[in-house]
Amino acid sequence: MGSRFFIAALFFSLGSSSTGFALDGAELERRAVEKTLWNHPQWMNLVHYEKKAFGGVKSEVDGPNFFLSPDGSSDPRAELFATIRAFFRTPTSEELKKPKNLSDPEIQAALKKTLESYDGRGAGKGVSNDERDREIQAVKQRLLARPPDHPLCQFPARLRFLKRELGWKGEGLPSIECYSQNEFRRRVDAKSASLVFSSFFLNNPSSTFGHSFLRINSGLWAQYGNYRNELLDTGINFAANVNTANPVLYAIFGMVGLMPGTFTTVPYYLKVREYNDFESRDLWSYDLDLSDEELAMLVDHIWEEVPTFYYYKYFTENCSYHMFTLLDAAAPRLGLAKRLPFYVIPSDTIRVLYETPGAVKNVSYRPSVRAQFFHRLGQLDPAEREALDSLVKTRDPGALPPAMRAESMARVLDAYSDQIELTQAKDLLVDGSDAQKLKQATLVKRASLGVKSANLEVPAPARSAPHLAHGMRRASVGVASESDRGPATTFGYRFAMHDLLDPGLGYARNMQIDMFGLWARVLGRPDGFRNRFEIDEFNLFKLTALTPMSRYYSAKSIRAELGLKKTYDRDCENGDRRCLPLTLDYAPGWTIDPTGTESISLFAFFQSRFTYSPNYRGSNIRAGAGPRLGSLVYFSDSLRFSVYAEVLGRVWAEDDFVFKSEANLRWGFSPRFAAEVSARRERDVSEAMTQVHFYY
Amino acid sequence: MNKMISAILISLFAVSSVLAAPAKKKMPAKTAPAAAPAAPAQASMNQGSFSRNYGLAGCGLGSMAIDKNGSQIFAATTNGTAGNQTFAITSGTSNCVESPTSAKADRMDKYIVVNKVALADDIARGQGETIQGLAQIMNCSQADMLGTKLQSKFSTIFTGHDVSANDLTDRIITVVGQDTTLASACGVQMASAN
Repeated sequence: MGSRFFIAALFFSLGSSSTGFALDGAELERRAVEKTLWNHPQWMNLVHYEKKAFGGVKSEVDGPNFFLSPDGSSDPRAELFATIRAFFRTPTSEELKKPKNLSDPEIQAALKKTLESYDGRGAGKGVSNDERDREIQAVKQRLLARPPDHPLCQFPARLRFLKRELGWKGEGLPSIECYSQNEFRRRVDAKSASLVFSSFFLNNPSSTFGHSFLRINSGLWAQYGNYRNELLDTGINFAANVNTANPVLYAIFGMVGLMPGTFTTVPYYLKVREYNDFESRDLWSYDLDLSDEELAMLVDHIWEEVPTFYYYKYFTENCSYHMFTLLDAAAPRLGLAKRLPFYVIPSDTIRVLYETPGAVKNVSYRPSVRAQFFHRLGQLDPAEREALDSLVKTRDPGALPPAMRAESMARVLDAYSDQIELTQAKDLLVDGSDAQKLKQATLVKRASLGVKSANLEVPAPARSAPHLAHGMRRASVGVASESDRGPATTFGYRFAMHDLLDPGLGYARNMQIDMFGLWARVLGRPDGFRNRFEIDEFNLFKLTALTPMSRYYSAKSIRAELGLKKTYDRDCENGDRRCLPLTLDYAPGWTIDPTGTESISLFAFFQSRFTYSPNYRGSNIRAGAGPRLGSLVYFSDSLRFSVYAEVLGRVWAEDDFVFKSEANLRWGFSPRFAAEVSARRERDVSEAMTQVHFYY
Repeated sequence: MNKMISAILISLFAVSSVLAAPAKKKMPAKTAPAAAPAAPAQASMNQGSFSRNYGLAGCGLGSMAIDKNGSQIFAATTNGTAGNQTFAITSGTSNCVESPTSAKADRMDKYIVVNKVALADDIARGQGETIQGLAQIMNCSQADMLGTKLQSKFSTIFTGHDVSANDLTDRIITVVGQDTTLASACGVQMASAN
């Protein structure tokens, strides 16, 4: 009786335990159907599906090698099942191959043979070293080409997801060792991850709004105990593969999405040299609070993303957007991408990231060469400062006062070598240049002192932390009154990002980067009959950089604007002399910072302006040039004042000299609101206006 | 209408040529070339130069300095990063360096070619993050001592500002090898030439 009961119980338990079923692809598919697993947010994120306007989904990935099902890019269910089936597929002999190593004897033999073919053909004998090296590289690439990846080795994140969701440990899968993937994981040695923002850089349109990328922090430092060296960490970058040298095409392709963009992994030091040093941009790291599982998923998904591509779209699917979708795939709880508006600006994504609960656990700052230089400068005593100034003039490190103490000299030379790098970064890369010779002389002298520099600790400029920035969108409403036409209600909307009077936290000082703004007004019965709607301005971009002149570096200021801008112009045919010409402004200039604290800036620009309007009398085009002088006063981060006056001498115009002046006072009375009063005069018409702005 | 279009195009062109500053950097551009997708390992920064010029089968074949023009590459081959074959680096001295060091040299090349400027700065200063990174690459447990030593030999290592990464690696290894404490801390073995 007892034993029969026992045997029955045994059968029961065997029958109902999961190991009783064959855990093969069919069983997994059944479980997947039970859970409608293809609708799981992480699956949607891993395959990068987004909802289409009229129903259905489409994956953002453009590379066909990312999908295992022919319908994979629009059918999450098909892709899921295709993935399961593909995992169980028997690997081909190619897929089982171990990748070759440089030390393989046959590779060595082949390379030796190639090298021997160059014997006697060294430099000056027909083949340059560069050419020889290039051929060696090509041979290496061919011989070391990685064998193709079996889906198990191509999609580790999907595998991890399926294992977790289907209660599966990978039983039944073909036995295969994913050499390259494992080597990648070993090298990356992920312990945590950080999102890094490199600050605004106006010299390069793709960097104007900043740039963001990921850093996977390795455990490498742990064996050295006391310091954390991020140079050897891995940087994960998304960027367009530029396929044109023409700047106009580059701009168009980038905006429309005709350049493929890819993820690349680079040693972090490459990013530091590129941004911190060469372009002198600050780097802000936002350490992410990811669980171990999320971090593993992140590394796995990076492996999945690298071989494929997305068409790069400057305003929407750009570097920062892809960082967000990458993080969302690893940690769907963050839901980063859906917190963004339809267009994506890097600095804005940092603000969004910081405000996302459970995302960021720490912020750190890495100073650019400029920041390092000014910090060193600030540490010099007056005598050292004088020595530095004379060095900058004489460019002769040997001419330092010999009586100076070695520690002092070291400090001066350290500052000077930073200054060389700050002002001559490009020349330093040209072999034999004067900059190189100067740097060399400076460093030789510095080394000869035998003094060790103190660790440089540049305090983070808390005010410039990008996560503090005001929202890039700004809606405005106000009332205005014109001397000839009377009152009006005004409206404005700007898509991005920041002008000289907007609250300053989180942005570089004295910088304006605006794109896509529209301003309009409704005039109160200007002709006595009815209200009139009028567009004031439609602006494509407005860029201003007021870089104060300094004895330590040459700094040009610059202004550029393009848009439709309403003006009062006697050359306009309309009765009220208003027209809305297409306007292009370009102006180099100079800025002085008299107090040295960037709270007052005085600027002078030499402007050139081209306008086009069919409502002009006579010719439809006007070209003009002239000075603009003005001042910007920052009473505080939130109270700012600007004033300027300009004169333009024009050709092809009847009214050859036009004069304009404007003054504005803006007060950010709360984090999201600002009030402004302004007055303007154009020729013989003046206007006063008050507005309220809302940032979000 | 045509005038409008041409005005817009001209403006776009003018503006974009203004904005697209000719950034003729020698560093690899941050956008990868549209070649085969990069293997996601630490990107090899071989800027057209293969990793190493090595004497083939051990030292004693009459090591020769490889001058900048590479006029005599002495039975050179590329290095295996994990090989157990014996490679030797011919350096400025007549000493040869034995096998475990050559993988190290390969890694150092790749690091130095990108970090050259910062490394020169740090070595002149006797310390810095870039030296620490180099120490890690070299599996050197004494970054401080490394910094001091390299600073004292700055002019030997950086004879000019345009020294190649290969030469810098060679020289740094030689300098380290000549100091017994540092050599053992950094795992550099110098073999004597025959």
